[in-house]
Amino acid sequence: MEIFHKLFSSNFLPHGTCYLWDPHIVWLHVISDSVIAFSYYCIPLSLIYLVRKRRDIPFNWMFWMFGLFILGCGTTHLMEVWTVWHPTYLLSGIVKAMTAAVSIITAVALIPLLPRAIALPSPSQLKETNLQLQNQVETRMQREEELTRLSQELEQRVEERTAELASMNRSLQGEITLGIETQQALRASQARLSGVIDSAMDAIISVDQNQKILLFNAAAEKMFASNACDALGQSLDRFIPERYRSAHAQHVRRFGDTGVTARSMGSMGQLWALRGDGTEFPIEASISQTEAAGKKLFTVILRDVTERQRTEAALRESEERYRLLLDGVKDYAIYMLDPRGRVLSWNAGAERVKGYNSEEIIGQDFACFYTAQDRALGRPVQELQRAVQAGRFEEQGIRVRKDGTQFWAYKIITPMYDDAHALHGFSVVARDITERKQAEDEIRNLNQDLEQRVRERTQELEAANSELEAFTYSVSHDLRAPLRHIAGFSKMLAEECSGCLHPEGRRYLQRIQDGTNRMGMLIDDLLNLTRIGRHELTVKVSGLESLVNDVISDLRPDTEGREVEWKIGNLPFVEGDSALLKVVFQNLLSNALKYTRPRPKATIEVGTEEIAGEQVVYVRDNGVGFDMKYADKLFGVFQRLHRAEEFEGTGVGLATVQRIIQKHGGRIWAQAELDKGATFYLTLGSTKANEIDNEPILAKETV
Amino acid sequence: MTTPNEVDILLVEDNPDDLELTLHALRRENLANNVFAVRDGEEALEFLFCTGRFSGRSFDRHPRLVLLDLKLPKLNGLEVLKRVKQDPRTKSVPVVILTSSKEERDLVASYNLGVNSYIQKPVDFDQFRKTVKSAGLYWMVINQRPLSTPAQIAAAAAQP
Repeated sequence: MEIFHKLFSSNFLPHGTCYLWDPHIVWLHVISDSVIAFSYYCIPLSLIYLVRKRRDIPFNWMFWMFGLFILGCGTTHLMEVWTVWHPTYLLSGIVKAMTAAVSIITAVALIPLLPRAIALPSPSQLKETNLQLQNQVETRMQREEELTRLSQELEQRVEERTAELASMNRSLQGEITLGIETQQALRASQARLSGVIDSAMDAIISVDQNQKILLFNAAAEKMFASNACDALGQSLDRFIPERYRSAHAQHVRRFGDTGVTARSMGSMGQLWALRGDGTEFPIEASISQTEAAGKKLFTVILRDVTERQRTEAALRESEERYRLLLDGVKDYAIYMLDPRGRVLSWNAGAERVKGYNSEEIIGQDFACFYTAQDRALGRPVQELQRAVQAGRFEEQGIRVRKDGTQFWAYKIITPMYDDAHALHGFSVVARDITERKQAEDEIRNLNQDLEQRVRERTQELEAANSELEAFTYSVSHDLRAPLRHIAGFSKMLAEECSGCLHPEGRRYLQRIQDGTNRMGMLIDDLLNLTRIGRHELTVKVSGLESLVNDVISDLRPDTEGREVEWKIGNLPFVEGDSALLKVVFQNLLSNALKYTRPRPKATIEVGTEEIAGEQVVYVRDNGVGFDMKYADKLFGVFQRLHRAEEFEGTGVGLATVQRIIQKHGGRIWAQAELDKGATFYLTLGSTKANEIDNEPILAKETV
Repeated sequence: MTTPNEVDILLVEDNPDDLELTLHALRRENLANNVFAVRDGEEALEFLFCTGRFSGRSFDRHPRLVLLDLKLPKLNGLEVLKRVKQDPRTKSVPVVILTSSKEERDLVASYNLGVNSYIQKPVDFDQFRKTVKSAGLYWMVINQRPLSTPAQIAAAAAQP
């Protein structure tokens, strides 16, 4: 408070005093100072306003400094007015000091700012600059417009170009791929090419314009029997027969002039080549020319056609032979059809069988060989279809000749295919089988007749059989009865009335009795024989040895008073009807006994022997034997080789034996010599009972 | 020959020669005392079934043996045999077939019908006599027959 008071109190004289209160001087100072102060106060306000309005003014903080400094100056002038009447010089001095401080700071701050302030353009400069700028802006805008337009154009073009590039890119991509592939292919091709050249079957020879050999591959070496090292650099002439050399050279020259890349050779005739050993051979050749580094290169590819020509010649010959053969075939119609059934070829046989000559029929539909009915049924086409389906069609049918007559044809249709397996046509082989057909019909009729006759005959035989049966029954019963009566009554006569008979009468009576007994035996034997014929076999395995021994013991009574040696070997087990087999051995052994009767010692042998791989049972005796010229009569019924006075018998025994053996499927035969004994051999078939029947022979024949 | 009611042997034989020879053989063996002969199948059945000519006969007095030929007029031996063996009143009567036939089928048929014996007449007369003797002795002497009458036998057979 004291300082404040000091500030506003003073013991000094007011400043007016210095002016001596002269109103003129006083007011002069007062008014001037006031105006200055007012002005000084206005300036900072303007500056502040300016700075606030123009924030882009550079160094605006300096305006704030100026404002402050001018405000201080204004205040000092205001203090001058104040001190005229109020002597507060301390306050006035402080105000001056503060103003001084601000002014010195501003001055100092202004110094470094000066060069920059100087650099600031002046308004005229700015204006000019502005003008220039204006111009520039206009120019720029024009340019900008132009640029925009250009830019649009450019963009347009860029787009177009981009599209173009994209497509080019794509094609390039393709080309690149293609290029790579091409390169790969090229490499592969080159590799292949050299491989091909080396391994080619054809001879490949390149020559220059002067016929000098530049390339001679392996096949060429082989074909010409010359080494490549010998051939290279040499003239091609050495491989051309002399008579063709000049013509060949001319030919190659002309070819060189044509500029044609490649063509085959030999249009003028067969080409011939010459081997290293001087032999010639036929070839086929093509020539090509290439040009490299201004030089022409001729390449000839050659093929040795010796073998092919031979094959072709053989084929031609074979075809000719085949054609001759086909033409030579007169009994068979052989012709070809196209896939639609039209006649392609026609042989002489076809002309003979069908009546058409080849000019008439080739190209015609083969349906004309069929009857109208078959055609209506579509059979011609069906037969071709069936031939295709089955690979072959074969049948017998009625066909029509050119003259309309019909005949029986046997035909085979075979489809033919080309190398691509496409139907190429048909081959047809047909034969007129009318005669055969007639013969067959005849045979069929004959067969039917025959069958009819067989049936009739069978019926007859059956009737005969039953008659025979009735007969045997009758023999068995009715014929025996009177015989028995004769025997009975003659016996009674002999017994009861022999006293009244002359001795000769008694002898006659005895002969009657012998005769009836013999007749009885004959009837019994005959009945046995027929019974065996009707007997059904009961087949089982029986041991022959025990069977034979049984028979021998049955025959014991007949051997009484005789010396008989039985030699029984190892006999097999056989399949057969043991009852019937027993009958066989009964007959054979009793025969043996009978016919050895004149021998002081009878030797009877039963054994087995292998004859032609077959086991055979034999019965051998040392009896009287027989002459082999009568051997065929041995087994006949009632056939005897001895007189009844010599050896009794009915002549039925061996017939019975044979009948039994045959029923078993076996055989019996005899070997003998007059007075030197006889041997009977027999085999038993392995036939089963059910195969041996009364009917099998007939049954087998009709099957 | 005997009367129908006292018959031991009924001989059925159509052939007079056979008849005489058989009777001769039987006589020789003293078997012919009560033999009665009929000459065909029909007569044989009339005798055995007491009908027709023999309606006066009694079933109680059946023959002890029937010697039956196969080949007979009218009805053959097999038919006679069949009727006799099928009827309970006569089936116990021994029937022996005495025939010329040795045919298997006749043998089989006879046995199927229940014949008591089957004898083929041999051609040789000595043999025939032996055969007749054996058969007669066997059936007339050796063979045992039930004491009951055929009617009683039939009645007994009818009971369960």
